[in-house]
Amino acid sequence: MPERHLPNSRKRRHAAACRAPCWTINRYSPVVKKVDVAVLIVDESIEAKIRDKHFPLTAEDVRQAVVYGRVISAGWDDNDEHGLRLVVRATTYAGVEFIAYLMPANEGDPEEGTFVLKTAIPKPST
Amino acid sequence: MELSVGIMSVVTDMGRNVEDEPEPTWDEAVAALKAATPVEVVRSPREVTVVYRYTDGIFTATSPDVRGFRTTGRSLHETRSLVQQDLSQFLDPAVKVLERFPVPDREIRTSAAGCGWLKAASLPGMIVLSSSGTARTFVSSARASLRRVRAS
Repeated sequence: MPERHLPNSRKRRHAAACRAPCWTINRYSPVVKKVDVAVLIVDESIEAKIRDKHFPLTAEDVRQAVVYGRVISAGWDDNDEHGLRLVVRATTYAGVEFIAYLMPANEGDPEEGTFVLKTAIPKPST
Repeated sequence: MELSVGIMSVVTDMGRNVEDEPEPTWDEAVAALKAATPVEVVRSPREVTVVYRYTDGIFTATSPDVRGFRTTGRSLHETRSLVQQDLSQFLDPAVKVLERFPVPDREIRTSAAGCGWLKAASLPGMIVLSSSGTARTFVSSARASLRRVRAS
């Protein structure tokens, strides 16, 4: 690969940008306009929390809906406390509408497709 | 000193219970989604498997990928159309449905044949009663003819 001919100051800035974790760049301007949720990792504690607090929703229902189902809408939420999260609104096969918070498993590469489920809230039935 | 502080912080983190963390309400989640930067959800190639079974004169379709999915029909054609109708409402259009049909055993034991062994290849389009009389195997004529060709 040919070496880039840049002035020393620009070389230093370029090197610093390469070293900086991408999520810090994404925190201020989420550049990923398209996302593919291919794998959703669900921790046992999160599974228990959803089962106990958000009946009839289960983590498995959320995983199926997010990976295979029709997603109503999604967006990047930049939270000071929790960092960059993907907020997804979808419906389970059983017809329960929910909003799930997902965190990129690899913070440096949100496009990779692997996410960790943080929580999911079902739409209250009226 | 620094090391002990580090250890203490690790111990404190381990003690955090996920269930104690405050959960956003539905309205807060909706507000967060509205405020979020919109992103398009795309799908890499993936498929959902649907398994068909034939028992007691009824075709049943289930899927290991979709919990709670179960469709029944009196014929394979009817069941397949019901499956397509049902899953199209849930699945993303980019997700493909991979259908798996029961593969008949090469040799099927039957009570009618006096516990003799019958060749599946000689039974195109037939339904063979098992020794218990409850479970049946559907032998598709296309598959049987394929086996016949392979055998010859």
